Amino acid sequence: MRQKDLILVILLGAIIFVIPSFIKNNYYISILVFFGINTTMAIGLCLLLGYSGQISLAHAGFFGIGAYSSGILTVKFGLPPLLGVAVGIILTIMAALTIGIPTIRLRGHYLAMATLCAGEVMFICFKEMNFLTGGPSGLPGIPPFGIGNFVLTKPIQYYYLAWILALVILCFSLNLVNTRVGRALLSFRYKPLGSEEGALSVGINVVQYRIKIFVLSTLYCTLAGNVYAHFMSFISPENFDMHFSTLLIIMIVVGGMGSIWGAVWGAGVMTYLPELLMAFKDFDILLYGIIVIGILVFMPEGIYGAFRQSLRRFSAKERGGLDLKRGH
Amino acid sequence: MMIQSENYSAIGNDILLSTQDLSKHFGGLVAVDKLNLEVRPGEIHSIIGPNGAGKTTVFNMISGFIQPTTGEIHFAGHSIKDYRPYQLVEIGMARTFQRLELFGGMKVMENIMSGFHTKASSGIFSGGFYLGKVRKEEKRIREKAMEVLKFIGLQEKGDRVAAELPYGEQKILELGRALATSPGLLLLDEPAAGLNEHETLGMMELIMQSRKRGVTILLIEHDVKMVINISDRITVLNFGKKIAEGTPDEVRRHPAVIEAYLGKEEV
Repeated sequence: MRQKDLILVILLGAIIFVIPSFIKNNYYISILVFFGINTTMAIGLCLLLGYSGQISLAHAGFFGIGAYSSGILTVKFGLPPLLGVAVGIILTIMAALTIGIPTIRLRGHYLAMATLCAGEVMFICFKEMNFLTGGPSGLPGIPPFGIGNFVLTKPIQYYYLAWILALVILCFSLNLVNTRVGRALLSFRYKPLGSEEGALSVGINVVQYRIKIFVLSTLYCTLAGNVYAHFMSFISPENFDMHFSTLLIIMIVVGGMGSIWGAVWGAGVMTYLPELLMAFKDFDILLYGIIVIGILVFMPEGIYGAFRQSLRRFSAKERGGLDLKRGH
Repeated sequence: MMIQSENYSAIGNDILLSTQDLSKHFGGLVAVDKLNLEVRPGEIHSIIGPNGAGKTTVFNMISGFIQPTTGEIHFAGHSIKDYRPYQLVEIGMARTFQRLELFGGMKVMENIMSGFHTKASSGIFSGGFYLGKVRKEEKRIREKAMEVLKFIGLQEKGDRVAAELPYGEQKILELGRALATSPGLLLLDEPAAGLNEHETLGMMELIMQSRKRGVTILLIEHDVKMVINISDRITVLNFGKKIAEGTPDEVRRHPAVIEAYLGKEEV
């Protein structure tokens, strides 16, 4: 990652470490856990949509595969949680290839529709496979996450679990986009930002990268699902529906699509917005919609993009000139 | 000012690229008709012909973007008819495009660094965990990319976003990106298109310098003056068929060529 990324990561790590000294309320902590889980998933979608330009409305389904793998293996079969993680990864890779390979030639709206259907199929499976998933009434009694004798029983421990995962994913992704693979992903975006023909002409196997990054983004979601299941101890199909897939997309659009840090911001905003609006009771949904649309209209580069633009304008004024540099 | 094409002594008599009866039919339309072409190592070989003569279709077949209907293509000992474009880069063929296919959203330096894709190996795992070898590789690629930038004269613009460059520099950037792949054969699709006289001379100079460094050049051009000046050999196409081939002097006197260009500026 770049130097400024490293500084921000260390800063974020410090904040994560310090927060529990100030926040003891379990409800607030649980929101922070969701923030961390959402961050992991949003970063995955950022790689997929912001970097390689592929939309997916199926990712809540992969979140669900992780959650149900953890839940089913521990509740129905009494197996250790790590096995739930491993099985979740295997099932996710299989599902991701099953969806990703046939849709490889689809773009734009067609890809959105295809992934929407795929997500719906996964949702229907969670709802209908009663014998495994508990059906529409959900799967209760998921035991806490643990390795051997070390078991996570308190919410604050899940806060650390979720955010350590998010930090690892964040660092991994920041490294990735600043190396060869990252450049390859950026190369075959739609014109004029990139060019598929141009990418092919320098030896980039576009199809292979499309599939690889799709699978990688789903793996982020499945790991988030493992944490979610053990933290909540109860999961139901409605947690993994189209609405949540859409919410994930909104997170990265609001935060700023072409930026990993934007995904973090977007996850934060969309996790906290419902909480902040709770005071407005009946108007909360209306305000929610207005705020999201407002962000999309007035900050087309997302919150992170708007922030960087104002920084640039500030430094340009300082230097007394126009600065037309655009970075990513 | 004329830039003479040197009689480059390293032009061998072996064949680097050849096509045998290469044809492309689009339904009833015969775009390329049984083309037999030979490119020798170290030469600058041009393909010219009126609009619609099939030149870009030939390029697209050679570079793997279009499947030939019939015929064979051989490059560096491989039969490459079924090769995909990204596979050809690994065996030493690169190309540029008539209408630029740059990575507009990336910086100039990053465009060139993309050219080194096949010369590097960091993947998702090694890149994500930023292993030691990846750090070394990134440094090496950056240094080599800077060399390419210096060669093409864009070393001051490395941090500019590619889409913001003027057209002439974008053309040069695409050439640089192709050179970064260390090609044995470079296909240039109308490298002078849209360039003024000064820029065209600059492009010609870069092409000659590339040849000096061992790159064989196959190019398509409409600018006949440029072609006459830098080519060792010229193949002339019309209606998908080869109508003449030879040195610039032979070609400019050829009756079929004169007839094909009748009404245009005298060759």
